[in-house]
Amino acid sequence: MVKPLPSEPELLRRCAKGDTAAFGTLVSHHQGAVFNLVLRMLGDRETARDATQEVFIKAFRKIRSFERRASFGTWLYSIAVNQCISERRRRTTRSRKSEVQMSALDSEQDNAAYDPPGDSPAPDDRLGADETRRQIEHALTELGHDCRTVVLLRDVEGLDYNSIAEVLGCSKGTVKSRLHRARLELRHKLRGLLK
Amino acid sequence: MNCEQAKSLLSEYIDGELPAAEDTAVKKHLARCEACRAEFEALERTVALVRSLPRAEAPEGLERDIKVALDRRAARRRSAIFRWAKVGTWLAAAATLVVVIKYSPPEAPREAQPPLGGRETLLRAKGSDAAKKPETLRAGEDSKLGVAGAVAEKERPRALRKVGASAPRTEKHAAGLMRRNAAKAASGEPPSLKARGAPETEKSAAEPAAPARLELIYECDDAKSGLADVRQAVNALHGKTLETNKRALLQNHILAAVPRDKLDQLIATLKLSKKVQKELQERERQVPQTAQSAPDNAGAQKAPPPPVQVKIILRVRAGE
Ligand SMILES: [Zn+2]
Repeated sequence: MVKPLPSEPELLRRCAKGDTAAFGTLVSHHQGAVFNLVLRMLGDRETARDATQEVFIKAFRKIRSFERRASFGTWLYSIAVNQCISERRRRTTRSRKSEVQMSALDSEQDNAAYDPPGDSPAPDDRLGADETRRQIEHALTELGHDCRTVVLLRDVEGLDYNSIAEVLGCSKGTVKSRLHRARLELRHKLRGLLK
Repeated sequence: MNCEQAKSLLSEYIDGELPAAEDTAVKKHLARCEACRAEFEALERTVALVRSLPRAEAPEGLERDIKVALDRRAARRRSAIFRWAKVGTWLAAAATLVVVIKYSPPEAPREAQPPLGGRETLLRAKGSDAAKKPETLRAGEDSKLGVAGAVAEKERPRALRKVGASAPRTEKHAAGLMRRNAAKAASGEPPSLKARGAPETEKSAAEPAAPARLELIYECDDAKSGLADVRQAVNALHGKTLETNKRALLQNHILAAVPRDKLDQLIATLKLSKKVQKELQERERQVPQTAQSAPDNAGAQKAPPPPVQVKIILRVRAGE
């Protein structure tokens, strides 16, 4: 008989006692979401992988400070957003060479880093879909950091406004205005696709 | 509801985040206002495009790596007290790690400096560690290996195997120094920064232990540029020179604190070969060992290498 998966509160209690196996279950459940967000924030898989690992290590270290009024997932996102901010800061202080690599985000090679969609359409459609995706990704990278974060949390991760406010530690009003501004900007950038 | 109000609420309307009354008002406005409806549809399609982005799967092995990192961390925590003891030792060593620059002006003394040729001055470090350690002074032995004394440790820095290899990219200055030396070597010119009596051919020498204190000679064309080179090398390795140029030139040496984990790179930058290391081993036997560096092979095998003190002696080459 398969032992049922313990509930999240139970897992969190065990984590707080230093149980890395319990934490492993949480990692298994949340790593996809964290990685997806971090990848979209940072642009390349290797950096995103390292950053995701760092997010979980920090989460484990701070698990006792996790307040139950937020969901564990939301809390993880907030650690992830902060990790991305410090990663970006680190990048901007690095050499010019690295900056060139960063600005090459929209290049063919970098986009190959993203996993293709689950369904594989016919080759012709696929080419069009890749181009569309490339344009969307590029438009996202052109948004300011704050705007991009809000759009990703809302439209890619599917968080509601309250959760986004919690993740970012800002007011719901700020979330609304940032999101609206970001979408207007995207609409302008993606006007070629809006037919 | 007017157009301006309606447009400002479109994003929330799309997300279903509006209170019922406002939601209904926007819906009614859109039904009768073509311009706002067009705006709404464009925004809605924009959102749909972003939402159409494929989700990335977490990379293979990420979960395992996280678990390994956490388990390793847990193991480290168990030995936290032990580690803090280590940190204390490290700090003491960082404070006492010493680089001594010594130079001999070619032919006549320069400027108004006192005549220093043929005499070496070694400065004792201020830290307690240094005070404990015996100091070997040599005088008038400029033609010999510039290693004055060393106290042995049990482990040899790994990076010594890579003497002359390229430095990590963070150590740009050190690497630059090494590149310059390489260029000089290629042009038949002797490297400006090297340990005397340290031919590169000694690479297969037996693995020497890392000395607790090294005294190395840094050969340069003139004291000022030599000093600058050493400063650069030390700074590049996140170390710190502790004296002004004026003082260093006056007393023929400069003190510098270098992080223990950068010592290997400093040695590499200074092109200290195994020949020198071997000589150091020879000298070790003559130098009484302190309690800290007393033989305890079993313990030393497991623990990270203990801190090392270094002295580097700078020599100005005589005009040839
Ligand atoms: Zn209208």
